[in-house]
Amino acid sequence: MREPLREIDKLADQRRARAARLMNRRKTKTAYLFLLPYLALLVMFGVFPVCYAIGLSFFDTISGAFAGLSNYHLALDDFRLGQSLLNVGTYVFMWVSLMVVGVVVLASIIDVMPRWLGTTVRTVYFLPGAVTSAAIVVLWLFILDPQVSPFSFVFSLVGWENRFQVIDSIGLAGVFTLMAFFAYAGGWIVVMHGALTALPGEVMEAARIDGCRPVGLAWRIKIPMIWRTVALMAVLSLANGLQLFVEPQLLGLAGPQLARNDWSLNQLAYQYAFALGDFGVSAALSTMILMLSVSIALWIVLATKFYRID
Amino acid sequence: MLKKGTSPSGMIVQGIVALSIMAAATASSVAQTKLTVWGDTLRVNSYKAYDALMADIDLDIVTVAPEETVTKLQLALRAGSSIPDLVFISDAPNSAMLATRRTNYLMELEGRVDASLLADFYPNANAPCIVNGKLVCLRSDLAHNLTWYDKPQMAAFGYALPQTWEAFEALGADLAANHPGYFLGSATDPYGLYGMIMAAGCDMATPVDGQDDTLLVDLGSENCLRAAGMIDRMAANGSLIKAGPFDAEFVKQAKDGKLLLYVGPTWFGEFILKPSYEIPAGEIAGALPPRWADDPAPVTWSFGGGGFGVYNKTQNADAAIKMLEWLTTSEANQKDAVTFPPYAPVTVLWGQKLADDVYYADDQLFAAMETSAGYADSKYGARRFDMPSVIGKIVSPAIASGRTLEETLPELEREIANTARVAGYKIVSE
Repeated sequence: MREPLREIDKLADQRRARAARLMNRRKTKTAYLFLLPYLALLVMFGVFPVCYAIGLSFFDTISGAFAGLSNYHLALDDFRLGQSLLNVGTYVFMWVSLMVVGVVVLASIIDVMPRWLGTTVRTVYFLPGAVTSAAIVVLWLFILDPQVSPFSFVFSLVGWENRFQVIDSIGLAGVFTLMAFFAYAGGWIVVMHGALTALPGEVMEAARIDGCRPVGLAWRIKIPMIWRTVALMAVLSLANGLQLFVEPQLLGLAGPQLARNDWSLNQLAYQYAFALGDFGVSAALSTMILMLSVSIALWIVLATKFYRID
Repeated sequence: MLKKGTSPSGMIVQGIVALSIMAAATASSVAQTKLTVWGDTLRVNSYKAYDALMADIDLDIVTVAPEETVTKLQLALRAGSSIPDLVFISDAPNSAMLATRRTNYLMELEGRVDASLLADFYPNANAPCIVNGKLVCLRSDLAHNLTWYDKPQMAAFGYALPQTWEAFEALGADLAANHPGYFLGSATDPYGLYGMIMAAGCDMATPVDGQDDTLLVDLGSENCLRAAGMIDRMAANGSLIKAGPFDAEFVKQAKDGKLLLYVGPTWFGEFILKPSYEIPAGEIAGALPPRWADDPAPVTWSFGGGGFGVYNKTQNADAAIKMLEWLTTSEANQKDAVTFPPYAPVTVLWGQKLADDVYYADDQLFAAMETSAGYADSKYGARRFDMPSVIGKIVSPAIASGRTLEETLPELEREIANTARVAGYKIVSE
């Protein structure tokens, strides 16, 4: 009696497994179906333009003839390139550092607040992120002008009388860091706080019983458990920061004496395409910026074994 | 007069036939020439007027923001489609960016535009439309400098109008000593600085005759130094302030009536002094800008003023040229133009409204504008790079942080030369 039953069980198991596999395959298919519109758009507006730009960078703009690396030589010979690289490098370093420290600290503070207060504060942090970066530039130009700024008392304490002195003292990289921090920090605080709340309660409980105080709990237990989210934020911020364009480009709104058309690498690429009509050099510069951000991101991902599942 | 052998009744019949042909023509049967034209919101009004006026022209009008014109043309040329037959270039010197080997858009106009029309433009009005000796656009409006001043306040202080830059500087020194708080302009505004340096005859980027794409850049000359010295001394005593004319600080002081005199463009009265600084009626007057005592006449620089250009591969060259002529020189379009027209015969009609305007302190404003137009600097020409950007990058922050223009000149010279080389110019320094 036992034998036939076992046979039946086996058969049932097999059938169940096949059904599960079928189900899985169907699920995957549905997933791809849902992904399709995104993938189509990605190819049209993401992958194709990048490939087109890479192709463009090897051809001469006028004759259309293959130009080898000459566009790259021209771009690398530009007298402004070193300074722009330094500018963007300084900015990215300041911004990413500020994001990592600021967002993690703020999210950890929210995490230990009473629930109602935490939610309110989180929403407040998120609000500046709802304003587009172009509008933020205009807003900051007001904030940084001692004549009209609501914080002019702060500037007068330090002895800054006009916008030039303010911007000169903070430095353009510093100004853009502040602009970008307030634009992007709110969103990441929400993400980081989400990661913190998802941490298992029993681990926290155990740590607390072992005598861990809130600061120690955050530093020794919580942050090590959410480092992947922090690394993801750093990679995305870095890629975003290297493409800095809108903020320096819009400075001229505050008057021609503040206008900078060559502060960032992307602005140089823009100048080549739209002031000089040299799309080849512009594409070469853009390609190099892309390579730079891809290699830094790859380095971070590989060095931190980001995608390893333990 | 009747021709012999033609009866009055025959005339009437001929007349009726002619009239009916004309009627038929305006109704529909005239062959329509289609032109695509680009312009800013102000120019679109002119385009619409022309479209309504000309039965045989059908305009496809595209509104393009002034700062995007060059960018969008680069894209259209690269795409090879939607290229306009005629464009408005909001800043005439940008014509150089549209007449290069890479961006070969603008048509050479010499021999196409009626020569008698060209002769009646103000002297050097079309200088920023000349690229390597070729005329590639016509000015839509001029924006040369004037001395704008507060007439009753000048009289109250007992000052005479400065005829020379030396007297301008002396006025600043006297103001600083006796009427602190009053001022004569900006020490950091790139456009203002550019105007003052160029009025001294400095070779910041002068095209070299007979050599294509070659610029003379020499900021070490006595001409440059005299301007730099004046600006530095006036920045030091505060008669030129460290804020630009569009900055909150400058606007606030101007509203308080502290701006006694300002060397600025023809549009400054109507578009800045009146609406932005809210100077009351009866105070503002305009005069010829200063000259250097050693120079026989002033050299007037400009701040703005656009132009129109035509596509060199347009299918309808004649129609486009005709429209270009109408836009720049016709009474219909220019008599009520917003800014100073470039073509002398209609500008006189345009000036009538200034004479009748009670806002200004006297009726000499238009005369001053016309005289000043006669001294327009031929060096206000087409460039493939933006000089105010270069000045704003190097000089403005330096002066704002307490350095002098004189010590910045070598750095500025290097930056101009480098920027010009990137834009494809050869640089000579003597």
